Amino acid sequence: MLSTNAFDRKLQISGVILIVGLVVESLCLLSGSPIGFILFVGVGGLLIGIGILYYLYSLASSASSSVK
Amino acid sequence: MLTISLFVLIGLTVALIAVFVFRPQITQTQAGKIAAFLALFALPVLCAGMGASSELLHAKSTKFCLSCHIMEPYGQSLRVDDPTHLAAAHFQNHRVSPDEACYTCHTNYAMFGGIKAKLGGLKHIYVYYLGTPPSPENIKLYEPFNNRECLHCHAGARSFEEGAVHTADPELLPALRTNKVSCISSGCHEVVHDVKDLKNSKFWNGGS
Repeated sequence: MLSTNAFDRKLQISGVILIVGLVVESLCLLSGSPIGFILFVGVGGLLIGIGILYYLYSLASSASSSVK
Repeated sequence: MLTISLFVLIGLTVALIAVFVFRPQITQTQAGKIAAFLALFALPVLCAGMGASSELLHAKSTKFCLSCHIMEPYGQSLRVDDPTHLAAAHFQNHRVSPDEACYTCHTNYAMFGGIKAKLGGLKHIYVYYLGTPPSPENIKLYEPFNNRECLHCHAGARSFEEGAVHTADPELLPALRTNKVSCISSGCHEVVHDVKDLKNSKFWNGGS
């Protein structure tokens, strides 16, 4: 399932993290309860943040390896 | 409406991200790189921002505040059939929006007051789920209620400025404005949420 290419693999991992984060956020939006609000910020927001940062890291590491 | 468009946006974002998860080699082309940036950066940021905005808006609602069981008596106190009960009179006569009744009076109308109110809300959730919540009748405000929150609406209103009781003593209005005398002090609007005596109260069942 995961690509053998390092950049593609990082892209896939960040994509999966982002999808999980977005699904969590959707479920929290549906719940509308105070605990949903906490999960929205604490879990959904965290996963989306990690997914985005990992994608940016994959871009940066790919750019630095191509410079070498 | 915002929620529907948000769900559509999240759905489209998830679908677009899934394309890159299953076909990461698309990013080898220039157009693929731009699409990947949109799918994996711009759209998730937009979804998170819109979601946070929607959640914060929802967190102002009366329904949200009363969804904790501990707050139920306070919700009931809004329907007490007695005009001397301050919160009930405001709620039933739409002096505050019934949909945002708790937030309208309990937010802080100073600079960064909204943020302070949200942080206070997070503290409530922490105490409710992880701490030892007090019984409803023993809940206390973190700090005494500031007249500023009342005057945010009432200052300048004729009923407030020219009210017989308010003008009987010429020192009262300045004292209220400077928070030296509380609006909810004894002998004035002292009954706010009388949750201890709800069993003996008559309730108004009108409204939505």
